[in-house]
Amino acid sequence: MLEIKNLHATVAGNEILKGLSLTIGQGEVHAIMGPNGSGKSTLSYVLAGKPGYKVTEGSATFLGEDLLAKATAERAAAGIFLAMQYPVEIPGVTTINFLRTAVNAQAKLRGEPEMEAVAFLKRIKEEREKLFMSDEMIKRPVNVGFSGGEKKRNEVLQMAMLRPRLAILDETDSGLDIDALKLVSSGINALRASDRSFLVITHYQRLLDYITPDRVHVLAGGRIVKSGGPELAHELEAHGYDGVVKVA
Amino acid sequence: MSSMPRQVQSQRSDFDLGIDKAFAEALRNLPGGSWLQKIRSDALERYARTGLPGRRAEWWKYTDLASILQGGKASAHPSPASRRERAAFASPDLQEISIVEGHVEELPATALQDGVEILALRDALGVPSPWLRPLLQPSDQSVDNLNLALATDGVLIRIGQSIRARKTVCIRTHLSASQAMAHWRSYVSLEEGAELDLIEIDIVGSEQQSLATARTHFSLAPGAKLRHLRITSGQGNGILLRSDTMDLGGDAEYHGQAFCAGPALVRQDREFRLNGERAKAYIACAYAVTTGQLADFSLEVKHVAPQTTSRILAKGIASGSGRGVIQGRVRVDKDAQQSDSLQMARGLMLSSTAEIDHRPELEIYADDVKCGHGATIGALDQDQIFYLESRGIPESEARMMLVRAYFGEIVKRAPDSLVEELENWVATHMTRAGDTP
Repeated sequence: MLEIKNLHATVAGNEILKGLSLTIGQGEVHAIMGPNGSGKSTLSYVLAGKPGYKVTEGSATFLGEDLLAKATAERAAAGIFLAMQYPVEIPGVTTINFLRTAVNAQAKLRGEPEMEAVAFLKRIKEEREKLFMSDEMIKRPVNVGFSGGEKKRNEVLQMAMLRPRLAILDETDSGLDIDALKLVSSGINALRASDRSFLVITHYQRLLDYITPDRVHVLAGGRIVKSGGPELAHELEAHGYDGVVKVA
Repeated sequence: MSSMPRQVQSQRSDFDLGIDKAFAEALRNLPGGSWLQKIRSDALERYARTGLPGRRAEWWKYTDLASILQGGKASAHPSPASRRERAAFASPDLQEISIVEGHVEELPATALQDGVEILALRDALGVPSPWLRPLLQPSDQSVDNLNLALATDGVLIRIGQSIRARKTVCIRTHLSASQAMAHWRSYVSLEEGAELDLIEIDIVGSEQQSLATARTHFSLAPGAKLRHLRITSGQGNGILLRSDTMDLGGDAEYHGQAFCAGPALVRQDREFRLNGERAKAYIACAYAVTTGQLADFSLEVKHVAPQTTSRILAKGIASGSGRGVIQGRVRVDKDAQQSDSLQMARGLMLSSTAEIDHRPELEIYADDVKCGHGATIGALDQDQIFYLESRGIPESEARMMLVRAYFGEIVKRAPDSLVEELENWVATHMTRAGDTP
């Protein structure tokens, strides 16, 4: 589904990714762990197409197409979803209106018909209820006045409505208390499907107690330095990055 | 005009020659008899003494009308004059009035409601009436004098004591290339406790440089309430200069929103005089300009009586080499104790070649008042654009969404029944400036 080869990327002239390679198969859940500054968030932004993140070498192929040649919105329409570490507040745009626009914009980019208003409202009601979000919450401006937990739930709601093929979760666990973490994780688990893959970026093993990965990778110095099964996360928790990376 | 200073005579431009011609015609064609001719001649004389305002006049610092009109320094990049305006706010619930090239063309055929009077100025000028006096006052503003000399028509609205006008009055103004100049003068009078909802829709569509001036005096007697929406759109090289004065009596209230997008130059001089205790003026304005366009809201609020309240919220966006101006001058007189005034001007620069001049001013002579002002200028938030894009919304659409949201704060202040239509209007007319940097 996603094949990254020898990816080099710079931010403001500094090389952050230095030859990263990673392959994620259909329906698989991969976790990327790594110390601060190792390039985890940079990887997520490069894949989503954030301006200012420049690929200098290497390739990323998504569902057989050159992902890096696409504009940000086209990547989303192709099935990439980035759940952000710091979801942005957008005063004056309600979540429901934002999602309606996004669903229809993606359909348009894919050459599909727009979703009928009634069908959309029915679906958003179902999805928000799963996340214990009130009708009032989605009628408020996007993320404005939301707590950290509410913002992350809103990310999961967007994911549920947009039904991506690859969801990248950038430190979705950061800033969440244990109850919020459980709620968000169960929302994500409900979206696991044979045709949907996940790339879970996290500092801590904690999130992986709820979302069990198929593969775990250690990112350090802009490259994947070690890969393994779910047990690797426990090893990292026990010995720290230094221990594991040195062993590698 | 023998008293005209030689200096002005020696510099007569095509513009002034055009004024002379227009004046001769106005005198020939308008009713009003000699009493009105005298008022017009005096006004023209006062205009000629000062000429058009330009950079030297502080209040016109950012809109140098003299050099734009006299020097033929027309916009170097005229905006395209191709799109036809759809009739916004078309509704059978509106009491329609139309002014075309400065002449009233459509007026309510019959009396609408007891206590609601609507007349064309042309028809009312036949006899000198004390009621018209406020409309025919000389001014210290040269553009107002020009308007008084040349005004061909206008609308007079009078709402009687304690009457609430059942229908919203909608004045549509059309200006096109067929006239180089148009001038009209209106008067809106709300007697004690009267209420009116007024919409003004100005459409300026002129490829050639043209000049329109509109002077409106609003009089709100004690306890009167005016809700006022004004929207200005258009394209091409038209210039519209609006000048409003408003007198508010005790407990009178003004709630207004003004939106402006499109024509080459729109200047709105608006003066609010809070003459009666507890009078309140809530003023909101918004503009969107791009290359070849200048929008200028120059607002003056005078707190004359105690416990008066004023609020100004102004927001604008400028892209290309568009220019936006907000001047807000609030004066609190010595007797206007316990008055409360707040003004905020916000601007969004969407390109490095745009220009925004926002200038709040406060003059306070009372010692027990609450006054505040602020001005900010920023850009569209790149993180917000990326967030929207990352959900599949293409960049240009994302920018337009954000611009629409930006003006939402002002749109929401309009009467509920108008909000949806106004949202559409803003989406059509004001987000194009946000489309491209």
